[in-house]
Amino acid sequence: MRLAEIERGDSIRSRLLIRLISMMLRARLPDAARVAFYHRDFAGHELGAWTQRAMRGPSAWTVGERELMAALVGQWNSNIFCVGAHSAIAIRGMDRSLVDAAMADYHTAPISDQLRATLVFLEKMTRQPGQLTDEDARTALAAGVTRDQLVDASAVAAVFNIITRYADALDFTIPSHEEYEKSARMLFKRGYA
Amino acid sequence: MNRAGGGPAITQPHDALAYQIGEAAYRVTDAQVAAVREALGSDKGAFEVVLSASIGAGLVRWDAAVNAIEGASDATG
Repeated sequence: MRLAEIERGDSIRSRLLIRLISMMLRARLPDAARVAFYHRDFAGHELGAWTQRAMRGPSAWTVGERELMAALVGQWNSNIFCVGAHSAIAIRGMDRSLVDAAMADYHTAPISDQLRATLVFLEKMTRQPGQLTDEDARTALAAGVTRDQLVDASAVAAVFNIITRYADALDFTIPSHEEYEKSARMLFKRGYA
Repeated sequence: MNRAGGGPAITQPHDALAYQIGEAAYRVTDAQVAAVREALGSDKGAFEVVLSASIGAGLVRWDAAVNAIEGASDATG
């Protein structure tokens, strides 16, 4: 269900920001950004900081690879908004055909063994967290994924297991392809800060 | 937060919403969110329940991943 206060903003500052950024984008500001501006003192600062660190902080994973992970978490959680948004950003850092292949079936896509092994771990983390074991982590490490890479990827998956859920509960509007592209340009460059 | 991570039931209508967000948020209904909004009397109240449940589900997964990675790392030294 959409909450009216998120749509319009809950302060003069957020209402101005929503209008200004919409004007700059020449598109409706996506709901993910409206939520980021809303009731920020509740958890917004901390969640925003974690998202920025996971998606744009120092990591052996590229921005494109992390956006692909986010898109796949969206897919595993049946969240159309995140699939569209983060695929659109991923292709700014990776070949489009590679992103499409990974979204269709990452098990057979021409991605690195390390990325594939990490995605296996993230999928189980997302779908069956209670069954995730040391052995699952050892399997990823044995494929050449470093401990830091696995931690970084897990942070991406944790953040997007949060975001996909409130995106669904709050009934995010699905942008048009053109709107996704406009937001993707900005998000690839600026991130989530 | 706990409920969305599989913890014990809480009062309704918050329980139905938190549980659904944890299990399969794409199946959350407008009625579930509306019931919480009505019970709490504000958009902010409903938002806090939604966000708390979402964060709870995310943190359960984060904890599971970190425990698995640390367990694997300990074993390899």
